[in-house]
Amino acid sequence: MNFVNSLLWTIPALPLAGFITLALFGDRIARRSVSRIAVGTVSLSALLALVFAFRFVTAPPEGQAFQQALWSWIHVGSFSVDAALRLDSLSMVMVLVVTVIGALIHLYSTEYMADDESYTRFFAYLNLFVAAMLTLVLADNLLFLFLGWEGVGLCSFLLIGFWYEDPKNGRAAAKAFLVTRIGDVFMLIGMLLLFWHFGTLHIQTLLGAVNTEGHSWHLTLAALLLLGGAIGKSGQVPLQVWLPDAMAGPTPVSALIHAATMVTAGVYLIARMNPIFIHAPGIQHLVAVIGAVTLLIAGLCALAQRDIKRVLAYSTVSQIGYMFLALGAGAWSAAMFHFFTHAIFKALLFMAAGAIIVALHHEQDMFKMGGLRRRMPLVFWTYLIGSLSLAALPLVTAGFYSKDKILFEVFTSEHGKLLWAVGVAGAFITALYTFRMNFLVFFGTQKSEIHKGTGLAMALPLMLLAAGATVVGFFELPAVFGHFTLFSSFIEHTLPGTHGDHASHSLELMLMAVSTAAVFAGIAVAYFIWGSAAKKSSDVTKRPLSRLLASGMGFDWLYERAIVSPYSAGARANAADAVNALYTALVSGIEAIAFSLARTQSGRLRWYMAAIAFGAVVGILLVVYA
Amino acid sequence: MILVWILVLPAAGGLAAYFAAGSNWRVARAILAASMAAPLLLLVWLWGRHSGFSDASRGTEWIGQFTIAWIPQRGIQFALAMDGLALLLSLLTCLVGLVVALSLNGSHKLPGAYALLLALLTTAMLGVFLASDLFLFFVSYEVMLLPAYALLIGWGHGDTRRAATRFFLFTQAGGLLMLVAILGLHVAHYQATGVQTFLYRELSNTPLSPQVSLLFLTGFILAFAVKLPLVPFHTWQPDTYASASAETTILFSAVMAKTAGYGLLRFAVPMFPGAAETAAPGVMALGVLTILYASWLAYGQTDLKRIVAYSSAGHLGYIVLGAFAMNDIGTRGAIVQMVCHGLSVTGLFIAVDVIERRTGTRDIEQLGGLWKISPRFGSLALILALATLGLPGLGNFVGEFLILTGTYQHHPLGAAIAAFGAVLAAAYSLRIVQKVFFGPPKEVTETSDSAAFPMTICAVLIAALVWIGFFPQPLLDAARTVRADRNEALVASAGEQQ
Amino acid sequence: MNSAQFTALAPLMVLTVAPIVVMLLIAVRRRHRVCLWATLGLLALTLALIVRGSGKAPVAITGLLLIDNFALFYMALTVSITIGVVLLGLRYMAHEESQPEEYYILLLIAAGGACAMAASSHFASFYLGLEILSVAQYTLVSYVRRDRRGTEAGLKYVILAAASAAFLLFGMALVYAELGTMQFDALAHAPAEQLQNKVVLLGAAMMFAAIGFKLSIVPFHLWTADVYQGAPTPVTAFIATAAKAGVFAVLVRYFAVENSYVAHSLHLFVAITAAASMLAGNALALVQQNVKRLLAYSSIAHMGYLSVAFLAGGQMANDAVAVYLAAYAAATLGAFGVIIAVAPHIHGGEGMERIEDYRGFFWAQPFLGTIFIISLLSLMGIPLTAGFLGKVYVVIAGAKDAHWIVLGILALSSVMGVVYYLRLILLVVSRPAVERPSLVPINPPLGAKSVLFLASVVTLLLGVYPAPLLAITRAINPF
Repeated sequence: MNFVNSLLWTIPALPLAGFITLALFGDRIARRSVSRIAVGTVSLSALLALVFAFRFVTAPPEGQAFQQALWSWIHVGSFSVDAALRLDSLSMVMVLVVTVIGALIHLYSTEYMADDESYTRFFAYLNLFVAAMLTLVLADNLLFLFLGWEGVGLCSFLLIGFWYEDPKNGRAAAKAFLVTRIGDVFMLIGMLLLFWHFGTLHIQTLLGAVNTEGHSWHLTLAALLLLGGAIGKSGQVPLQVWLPDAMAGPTPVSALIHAATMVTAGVYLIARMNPIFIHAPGIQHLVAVIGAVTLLIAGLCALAQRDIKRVLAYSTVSQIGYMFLALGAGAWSAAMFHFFTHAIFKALLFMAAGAIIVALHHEQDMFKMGGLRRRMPLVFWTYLIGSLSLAALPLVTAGFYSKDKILFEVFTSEHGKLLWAVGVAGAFITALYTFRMNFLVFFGTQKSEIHKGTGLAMALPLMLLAAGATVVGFFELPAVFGHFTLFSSFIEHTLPGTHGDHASHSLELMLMAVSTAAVFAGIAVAYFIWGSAAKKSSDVTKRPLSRLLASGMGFDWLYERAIVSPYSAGARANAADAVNALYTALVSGIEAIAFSLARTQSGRLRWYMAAIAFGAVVGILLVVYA
Repeated sequence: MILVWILVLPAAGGLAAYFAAGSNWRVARAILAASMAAPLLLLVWLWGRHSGFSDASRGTEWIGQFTIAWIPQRGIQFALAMDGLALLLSLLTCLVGLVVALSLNGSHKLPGAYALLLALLTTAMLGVFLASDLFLFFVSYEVMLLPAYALLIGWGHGDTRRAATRFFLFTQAGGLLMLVAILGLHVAHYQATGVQTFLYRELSNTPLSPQVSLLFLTGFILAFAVKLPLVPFHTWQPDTYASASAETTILFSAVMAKTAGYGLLRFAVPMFPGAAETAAPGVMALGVLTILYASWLAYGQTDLKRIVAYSSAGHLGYIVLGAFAMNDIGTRGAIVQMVCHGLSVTGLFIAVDVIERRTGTRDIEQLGGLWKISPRFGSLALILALATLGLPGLGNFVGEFLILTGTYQHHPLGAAIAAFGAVLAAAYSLRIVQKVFFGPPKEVTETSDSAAFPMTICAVLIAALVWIGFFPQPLLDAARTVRADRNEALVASAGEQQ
Repeated sequence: MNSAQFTALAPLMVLTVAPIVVMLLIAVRRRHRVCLWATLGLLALTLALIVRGSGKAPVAITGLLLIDNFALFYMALTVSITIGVVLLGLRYMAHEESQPEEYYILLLIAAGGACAMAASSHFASFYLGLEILSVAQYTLVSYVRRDRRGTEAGLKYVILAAASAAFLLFGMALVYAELGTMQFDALAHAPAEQLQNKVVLLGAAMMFAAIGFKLSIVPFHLWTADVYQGAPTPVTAFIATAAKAGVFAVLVRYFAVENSYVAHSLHLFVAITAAASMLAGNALALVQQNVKRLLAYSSIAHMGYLSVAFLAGGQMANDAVAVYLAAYAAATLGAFGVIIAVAPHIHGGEGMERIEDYRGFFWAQPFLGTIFIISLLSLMGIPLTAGFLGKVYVVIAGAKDAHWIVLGILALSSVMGVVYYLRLILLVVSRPAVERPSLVPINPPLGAKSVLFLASVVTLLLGVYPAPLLAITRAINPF
């Protein structure tokens, strides 16, 4: 292994070094240096990642993966886990997204957070997050992956609660951590199961063993448990409730963690462990069903939100639902491709939304925006590009290519027709809420004052990502458009290939037409309802259905009633610990006996005599007859 | 002989402090700290000298031994022996002892007597960890009670009598049952072999019927279940911790509770492997119950010390799982867990003490926004809370993970349920962070009391936890128990099965 | 009588002559100090003779007495306790009675009776010893004439003891009727087929019931608290310790013989009364507010623990009883010694009978307080005190034949014991809320101080380094 390859460890280590520097010496460093350290380390990581990507293509490493062992972590008897990295094409895609988009968001944040008093703390957390996320995707064993997995969860908690003075934010942060932790515990149990069944947590060895063993109930259970971890982290039904509340964090955080990277860790996990799911077809199908249900529910909820960030949050949940749908249908590369495009356009949307929010002095209610098209042209255009990509406008947007690939492959998969129909319905809803948002924010009359323009540090990432949201779609063209498969060829070094290649072009075109129709229908309906100035002000959130949707389909309500309240009210009611009663009862019992015994000490001689006689008689009986 | 020094130094220091210091707390602190630091250095030196031992020598190598006759008529010896397990826990004891010694300050009445009692408690605990004669072990185990009780009564606050008496009674009840078991074992061994001894290595080879074996094991388990504590024997603990002085609470939670875990790992399970296997499901069920129930109770408390107390009980529930997992992974996980919990709980109680000193209250409902006032302190407390909730990268995770892994081998369901303790732990840990550090700053009576020193201690503890989290191997290598021959075979066969 | 027999019998003879000597001294001139010194001198002489005699043992003197190391040990224990009681009670008796000289005569007689019991090998000598002890005790209990409680207690004791003596006699008669001998040996070592007869067992059971009364084992215990409370405190100390030692000596030597049919038949009876004593004694003490009654009830519990040792039989019983009695005597003397020292009439303060009166005691009387705490810790059975060693030996004895249930009861009832001892200790060390006149510093006489100090030293020494005592208990094994 040559020198450059041995630098693999620096990709996560650089942001980590940034974090450590900022955490230990943060209050002695000037702001300018803080941003240099923070942005610099992540950018360097991004550069390195690009170098590795280049080498991956030009000089493919042995076994299609760069590997590096760092140190021996835990060795106890048969249990042995090292801190070791492995970079294959799947993690390459993840690393590129995390570092490049991460670097752009860092840059964006230097301006977005410029006035915040905890500037240093923000960048420290953000650096730590990047380091943890890179550990997650580069880990060559499940435990090391879990280290990153929990690490990103921690950073998510810290950043959601970044403005800690508002208790609401703290609650949202704790909620996010707890809900994802429920998933994490399932994942942990899955790891235990895998370890005792296969004797290792090393991913490649494990997957090899899985392929050898084939179908077994252990695998089904393991797949189910890993799925638990994945749905927690990725905000899928029924653990999706934390993600909308996570928008309490600063907007760059929402862009980086709660849209582009961390929330897709579940997708990564399932893709990474794909043989397990392939050998547990029932669970894999469940993945698809969960994805379908989620994309529909989240899409509907997005329709009823007033807060622009919450719309984007539900949209994220919904889009990850598409990825799960793809994973469940066995469209591994399609899922990852959608992850890739989604990371770009969703980061773009969040950052553009952030620009609006800053400009409007932290106003997030879309009904108080409007007419921003003329005042903020750059933001408008970039936001529009992002929106179109989200809505999957045909031909020119990245989102179109990735979503269409998913829908096509779902349709051609086993039992895929119904799931496909849900996907198309989702496409319609996506277009609907996306343009509802656009019309409300950028068209109509202006309702709020602009306080602040958009500076270069914020504008540059927007423009770059807007370009990306258009261009990256061409990395992967469907068969009818020439079957250009740069992305899937690359990723299929790691992931299994697709099964839909044999389908006819006419079917492919027909499906494309249907989904395109759905998208245009969505945009049209959105224009019909929210596009004209007259109806725009009508507030629909009063209707019961809207209220239900706005509250996220009542999941929060249900969990609050069924779990949170009983747990916390019970804990408060039992603060004095009911077990004490056991001992109190014991003590009073003994005392009662003691007092009645004390009454035998009457001082009366005849009674004493009687006792002696009684004792003697009993004794005689015992000795003589027992 | 070096073991005797380790054992005696703290007590000698305590006596010196008592007679030399009088009411001068600075002198008391200096002497006490020196008498804790000296054995600490000896232990570190011992560890360094023995860090090279390989897997092959496992099970046979003692780091040090010392034996003289004590009560020859019954074969009772003053026998000390140290293996990896004893070394680590002694190290923890001296380290926590040093922390406690350094936190002495002008606010304690009768500093000389206070130092003496702390030192005696430390020595008794070291006696527990070093004794290889069950009689000596039991004497140390029980003698811990006296200084502990005096510390509670003399330096506690609030309803100390009630708490202290409860503590005394619960421990006595368990202790006496264990005494019956120990003496019963002694007699059984004598009847079977004609040799009078209390050396546990000898006693563990006593042929026993399964019923009697289970009976003796029950005696041991009950004693340790009280001290650990396991639900439903835990009710003494929160009151005791809440009313004890900060230093006492630290010694109690960080070290004294570990004597029970140590006893399980050293005596209960290895001496009665067959019975332990029989009892495992029941005991582990209690362990799991403790993890969940104590964590739930922790969530309902408003007194910070009580929260930490319940959390401590919850975390020590894992040790039972590790001990009864009956495999190497579980055992070593339990050892790591004891060390790491010792470190993190020390930090937490120091943090609680700092909060109480600075604001005059431990009630989380009255606290809030401390982060705003002292972000550095907030960060330290946050990391300690994260250690408590078992975040990977901190030592506690290594311990808990290994314990769950070990448990899963024979008791997958138990391990799975116990794993959810992580969610409950997160719930109360984050509640502390949320209530105390987040939110708008409330009216807090800031005093001039500088927290720089306790914060330094916390930082050192955290550094140790991070180190263990990422590089636990030296600790894992040291975390070996020299076991009796019979059990060695058991472990070996378990190893082959894996 | 040869010289060996003479040497062996010498201590008993001195002890028998001693009351007469003191009586004559009183007749010559009634002086407290002279009587005191004469008593102490004679007791010391007895002790010296016991030590000297230990080389010559065992010596049988007619069929009645057997002087062996075992007997000598219990005699030594009794005499030492008596010396202790004399020194502790010195000031107490002088204040209580204007003419306390006869008290010493009675004490010497009682000690003689207890010693005779320890050496008895025949029903007759046993009965004589017991009655000598009892008769002296009746008088001692009601020695303080103006104290009505004492008189009442004495009367109760007379009547109940007489009844129990009747049981004893009847039991002896039954055994004699069947076996044709009054030698204890016949009862203990006779082959089982000879003992199968129910009449023998009936006799043994009745004898045990009578002994149970002396030891205040439940349900023969009801007199205990009244007598302990009513008697002058030094007498209480004597009854609680020396009187029990002699009875236990007989019990161990003849009833705790291993593989003896009679001993075996008694086991269930003993086990049940032991368990009942432990539970009831501790439970009664738990709710007790009077310190003397509290110690009375706790002594019932201690006799229960001791009975467990009896279950083992053989050498284990011997060791356990010797160790436990020594430990118990030291601790009890310490505790009663403190109570004697602070007796209300001595320093004119208010009463020190209720446990509440001991609040802050340690801070007013550091010396007495320390002794008191050490004694209570030993009674509690905390390690590094003699009481713990005693408990260990008792449990070992109980474990020998796997009496797990009884041992479980022992352990858990000890916890009850911890409650009241601890409550007392806690009171002793807590700071008094107000200055109370009863807490003026008290300076007991040097003799009493030395006894208290010695009792605590013995208590701690037996806890920390008991090897020498255990060597003695090995040497006295009668089996």
